[in-house]
Amino acid sequence: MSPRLPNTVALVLAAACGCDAGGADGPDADADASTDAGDFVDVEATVHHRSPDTDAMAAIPASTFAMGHPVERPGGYGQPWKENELPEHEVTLPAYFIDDREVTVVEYAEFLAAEGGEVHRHPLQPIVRSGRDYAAADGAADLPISLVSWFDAVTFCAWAGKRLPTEAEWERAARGPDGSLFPWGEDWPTCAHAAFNAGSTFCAEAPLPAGSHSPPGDSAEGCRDMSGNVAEWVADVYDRYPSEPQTDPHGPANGRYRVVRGGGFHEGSAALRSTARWAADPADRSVGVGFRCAVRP
Amino acid sequence: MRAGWTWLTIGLAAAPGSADDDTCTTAFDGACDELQACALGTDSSDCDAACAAGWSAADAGACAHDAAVAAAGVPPPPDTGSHGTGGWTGVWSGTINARGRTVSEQLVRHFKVYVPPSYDPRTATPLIYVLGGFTVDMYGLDAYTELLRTADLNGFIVVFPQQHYYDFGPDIGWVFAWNVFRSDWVGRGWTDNPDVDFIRNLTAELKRSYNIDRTRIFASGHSRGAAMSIILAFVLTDTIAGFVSESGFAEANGFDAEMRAYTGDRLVPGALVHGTSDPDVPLAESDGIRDLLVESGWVPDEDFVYFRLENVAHEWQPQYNQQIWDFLTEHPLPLEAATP
Repeated sequence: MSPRLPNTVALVLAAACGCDAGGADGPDADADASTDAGDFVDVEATVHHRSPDTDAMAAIPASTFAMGHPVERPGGYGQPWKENELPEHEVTLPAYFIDDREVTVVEYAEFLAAEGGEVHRHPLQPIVRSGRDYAAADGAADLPISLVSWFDAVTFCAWAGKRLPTEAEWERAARGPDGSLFPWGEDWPTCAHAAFNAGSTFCAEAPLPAGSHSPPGDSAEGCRDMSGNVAEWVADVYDRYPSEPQTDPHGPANGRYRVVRGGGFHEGSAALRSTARWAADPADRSVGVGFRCAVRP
Repeated sequence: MRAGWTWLTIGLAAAPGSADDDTCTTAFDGACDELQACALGTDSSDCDAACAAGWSAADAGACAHDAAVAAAGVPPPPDTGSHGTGGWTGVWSGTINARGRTVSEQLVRHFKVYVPPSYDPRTATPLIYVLGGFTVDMYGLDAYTELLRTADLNGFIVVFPQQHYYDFGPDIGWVFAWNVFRSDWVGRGWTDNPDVDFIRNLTAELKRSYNIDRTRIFASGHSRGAAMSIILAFVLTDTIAGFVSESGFAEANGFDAEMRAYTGDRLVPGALVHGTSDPDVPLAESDGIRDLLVESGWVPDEDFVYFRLENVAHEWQPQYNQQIWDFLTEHPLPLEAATP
């Protein structure tokens, strides 16, 4: 077991478990942070990190909501929901912050330069390397970073003093307090709402700058691009939902796949629904999958 | 208050890890301390074991590092590529000739291709065909199946062949359809099937254009397209490594008899997906395929997988794309059996 050190935080652990890394004062708090790290108290981190900047984050109040899709009738033609969104179940979450947009190329380049380096870089990312420095390629600074593995996303968020959102946090932020079908409400998407596959054509041939569809595509609490543009890694291991009510769920402890949410510029309108979910190998990367981070106050 | 910017204690340029390299003070204590307290590659004695046992979030960075190092040090796999040297990435469409329902009839057949941006002609890349259901054209299949994301994540090419247009009489009219009934064409057998010829020709052309993994070419489909994917896998046994049948059938078109008569050395791997509430193709069709396979020696969950789903009717189920791909790619054609 690692020795406990002052000012240590279980950042990497918290990144996946959705637990509060640093207590009420965030990662800088001097408190015994491991007590907030749930089952992972025996592994502490001397990870140095940034203090999370919540200015560019949406504040989601504590709430109880219906997660998943209700069974209306079997999913026949024209029924877009999938059976892995069942059963609808009650979830209670404490208040949290979630990035109001997807992590961008310039932010990720900053991370590579400061901490990540080549281990977390993909050669097709629009990032230019010069020695130990990394910078966004011309015109790419505000694009959402993609071609990142789940591991990359976890590490970035830890570096940023945050963590990946849990699947429940992601869905609650996307659906808003009214539990809407899409982040912007009940209307099916148009290219004004999101970058997606609009049938015989794509709204965009590649991801657009983060926030391009604001305000029409925004969630009730100000999150941009929760649907479309790039889909997003979340913390949880992929599995079927439990049926009983959950409080601050973090998903199963182990499993082969992690969850991707939100739909990307390649996906059709059904994939943009806020309850849609997929399994993906955490080591895989896609031009259509990025992430955003979250943190507890 | 501590400064907002400091540094992770990780050594990103660490050499490939081994027990000999362990310099972390807590190495050999059973806990993977890389990223938390040690530079990457300095507690490999503990982290290798942790990653192999199923990493936790705490091990994420160490396991990612492990994977990168392992990938760099793994000997190259056998050369399964077709060695095509060119090819666009992204979405494109084209045409190719194939026989029609009679020997003398030649048709221009259409197809759409998606090549992920990560495609590298130096690497043999798997390919999957996606065949639409009755009347369904190829253009909406990418959104419908959500296979582009799966292709991006896993690095394979997706091909959407277009069904040909046939007149089904005054009640239905001219619609897209696969030739899945033996009476649909004139010829010596299933190898003369116009769609088998189409896929055979298209595969040869794509192999010339791209570096295709000859051992990992698969056929998938929905409904009538699923029936066609089964035909392709059992007829083009030197080309198609396995099938995905979503809401498919084999008995309704009589192909179950061909499957029972199959004498190939290899148990053709496949994935069946069917909803218990399917109003269009009875669940009994996929149940029948399962029973047929088992009676013929296939072992469930080893040689084929069956997702028999409650609350599901007649729709492709994209939430299983990843699991199905993982099953297929673990069941390649033997290299010696694959057409060059």
